[in-house]
Amino acid sequence: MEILLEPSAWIALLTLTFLEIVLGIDNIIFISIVSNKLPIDQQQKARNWGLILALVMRIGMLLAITWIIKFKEPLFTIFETGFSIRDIILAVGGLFLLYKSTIEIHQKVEGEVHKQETSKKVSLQSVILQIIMLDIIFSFDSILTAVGLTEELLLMVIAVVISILVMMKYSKAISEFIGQHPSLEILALSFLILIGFMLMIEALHYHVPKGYIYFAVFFSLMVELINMKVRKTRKPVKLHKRMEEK
Amino acid sequence: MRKLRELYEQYKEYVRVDLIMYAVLILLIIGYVIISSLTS
Repeated sequence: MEILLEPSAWIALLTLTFLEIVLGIDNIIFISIVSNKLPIDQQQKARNWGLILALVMRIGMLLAITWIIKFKEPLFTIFETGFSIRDIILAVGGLFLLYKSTIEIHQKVEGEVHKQETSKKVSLQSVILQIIMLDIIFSFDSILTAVGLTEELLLMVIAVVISILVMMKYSKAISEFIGQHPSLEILALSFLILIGFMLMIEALHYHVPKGYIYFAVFFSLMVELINMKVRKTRKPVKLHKRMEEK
Repeated sequence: MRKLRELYEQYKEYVRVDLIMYAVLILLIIGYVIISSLTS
């Protein structure tokens, strides 16, 4: 717990929580579309229960990934460099982040919007199950981002918990804010490209000080906040969502 | 199983890449466990 007294821990926590919240917006939209199939009195209950259970699963996945990447014994050697399961997972995870964030940026700027039919009747249990499954599947990049930004499991768990609680309470306000300032979403996805690249470099045993990432995130964010002030009078660009309700 | 399949058919365009990544990760872990138990 002493880690929380260090300023670097607070910077890591802030950075990670910001990314988790912004990247979680798409998850919220999916969850809203799924839960809107229920009667109005059950929708909030489904979202809250689904998110709480998804939070438990995310923490479980964080524990599993951080446990796996502790194994540093080399499995094989290439050009006199030993590669362990940790290095393979970091390399594959980094590649996945690079690919996924590039595809997401492309889809948001140039992709098609898919319309989802919401008239089919469903039960509360099946909606909660769908929310949990979708959140687990879509949260893999969040898990890898947490692994890339800090080595402290406690900070990862705190960031995930805060982001899920914030999304439960303020999802509408955050969605509206991001809708007004879509460049923040593109910025967050760009940071994933940076983190993915950094994971791949770490897999090759080159250690990248996390401070470089935190500085890049905060500098870009400061520039973007100034831009937002300057662009206040212009209409925001409408990014494509992965899915919208019909 | 049928419900999971229906869920997959409904959302497969959005979840395909993530599911592939999960499958790769699970295979890596299984492979690691097999290799460690064979070499120890």
